[in-house]
Amino acid sequence: MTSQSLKLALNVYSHNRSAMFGTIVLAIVILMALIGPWIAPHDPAQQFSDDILTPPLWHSAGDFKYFLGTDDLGRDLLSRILFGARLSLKLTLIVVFIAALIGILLGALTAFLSATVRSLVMRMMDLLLSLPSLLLAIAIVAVIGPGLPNAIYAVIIVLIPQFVRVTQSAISEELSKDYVMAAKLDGANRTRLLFNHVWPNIVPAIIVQLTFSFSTALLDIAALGFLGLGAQPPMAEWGTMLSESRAFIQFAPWTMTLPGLAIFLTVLSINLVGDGLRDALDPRLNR
Amino acid sequence: MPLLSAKLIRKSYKVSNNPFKQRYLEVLKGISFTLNPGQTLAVVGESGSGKSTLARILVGAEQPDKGQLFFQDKDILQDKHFPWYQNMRMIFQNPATSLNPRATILQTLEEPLINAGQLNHHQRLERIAEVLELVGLRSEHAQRYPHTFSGGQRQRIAIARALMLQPKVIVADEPVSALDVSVQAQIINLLIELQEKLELAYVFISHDLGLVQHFSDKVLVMHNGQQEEYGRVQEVFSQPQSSYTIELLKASAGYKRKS
Repeated sequence: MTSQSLKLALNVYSHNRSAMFGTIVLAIVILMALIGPWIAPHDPAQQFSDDILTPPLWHSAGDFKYFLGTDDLGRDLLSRILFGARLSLKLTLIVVFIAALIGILLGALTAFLSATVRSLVMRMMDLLLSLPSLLLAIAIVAVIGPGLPNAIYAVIIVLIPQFVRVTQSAISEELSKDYVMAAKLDGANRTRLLFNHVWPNIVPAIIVQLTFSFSTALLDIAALGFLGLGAQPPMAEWGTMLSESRAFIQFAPWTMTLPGLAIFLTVLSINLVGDGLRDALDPRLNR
Repeated sequence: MPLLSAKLIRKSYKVSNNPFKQRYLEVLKGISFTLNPGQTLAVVGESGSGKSTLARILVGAEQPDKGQLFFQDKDILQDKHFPWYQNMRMIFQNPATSLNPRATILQTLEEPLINAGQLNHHQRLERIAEVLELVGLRSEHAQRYPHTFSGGQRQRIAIARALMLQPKVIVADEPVSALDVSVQAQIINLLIELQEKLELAYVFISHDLGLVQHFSDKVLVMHNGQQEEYGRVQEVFSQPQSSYTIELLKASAGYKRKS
């Protein structure tokens, strides 16, 4: 991509209000995750047994010591959410990166395969895709055992078929277009065709899939934590925090609302950024 | 000596995947013609008559089942290493789809030069500027993307791409039918001008008989893959032999004048 077209894309992106909102929220989340350990007022695992279920500051019974209140074991929620952001983003990044790498490579590889082998690979991916992602992740964890590493493997396996599918269908759609035929008649070989001509045209589709997978991965990891199959207590993980405070939603709603809000805002901002990127990377919209 | 001559080109496609009941559709049933340097052969016929398949065979995008194709007296269908892209080039019908939307004009025009591998970067830029001028564009245009051009300008870019490697034959698959009527004449005039300047031979696929009469030396009439008629334009148009050609000419005349 030339610097000129990058400038155009940036221009489109910066004029997209919802994308800018998403970027700002996401930037705050990432910043919090990065500097969390230094700004967190307490150790996320430390239990203040005298101050269990302290409400947040804005509540009349709030305490300045615990900005967002404490949970049932007297742990500071703000610190736990900050450490949770660090953990969630790190895990999501790893999961999506590995899944995307494997998925895109597999998807691109199918372009070199014979039609029979390709349809065999794609039917296997369809099989995996036909199961709801969370259900499949639960099934995988049930087989290989609960725990954070296994939850990560499960989410990676769940995400791979989506990347294969998107890459393969984007490539095969592009391959049937006139400009690919024209490039072939320009003497370009198959590798050159794929990487120099087709690849730039499928990047937007993959970016959209990437952001979509980011939010899926974040939600699935949190859901596995919530179900007790992923991160184990006392680890500060958003999904685990939700499940620990499930019993207190009636009289201490902040213990569930605040981690839930963190998940919601992060997923929303990622999706808004993804939509903005898709619009900005389409050259036909750059006027 | 003819530049290009085709002898009984045949092509069929498999239309059913059932291994017990294989069915084939014959798209070309023996097409023959000769083309001299600097001349134009028009291929006319209705949709589905096999014109585009013939075009793809002529630029090496597809292999015929049977038949021979001689380029400068060499049977190029037997030659596995024949550099099609340096000798026979294609101009597509619709420049909106035949130009890569994410490549600048420079990148698009550079592609054949890179694949031919004869010029260095600086020489390539020079050649691109030269050809852009030849088709009536300016060298500054090279930095822009296809969507910033009008339909006529895009077809000029497509023509420039075809000219990059100084080919002898250009196969134009209905090069003006996707364009506004107002720019069709400009593109046709450009093609005529280029033919005179560069001694190009054209295979011009069209269904506009008026244009064919004006533009070409020989005409090949196709119907359902069959070669209905082949000969000099004046002869075919004044004394058509096949009933299909007569019908085609009548239909075209009726459309043109309503007196």
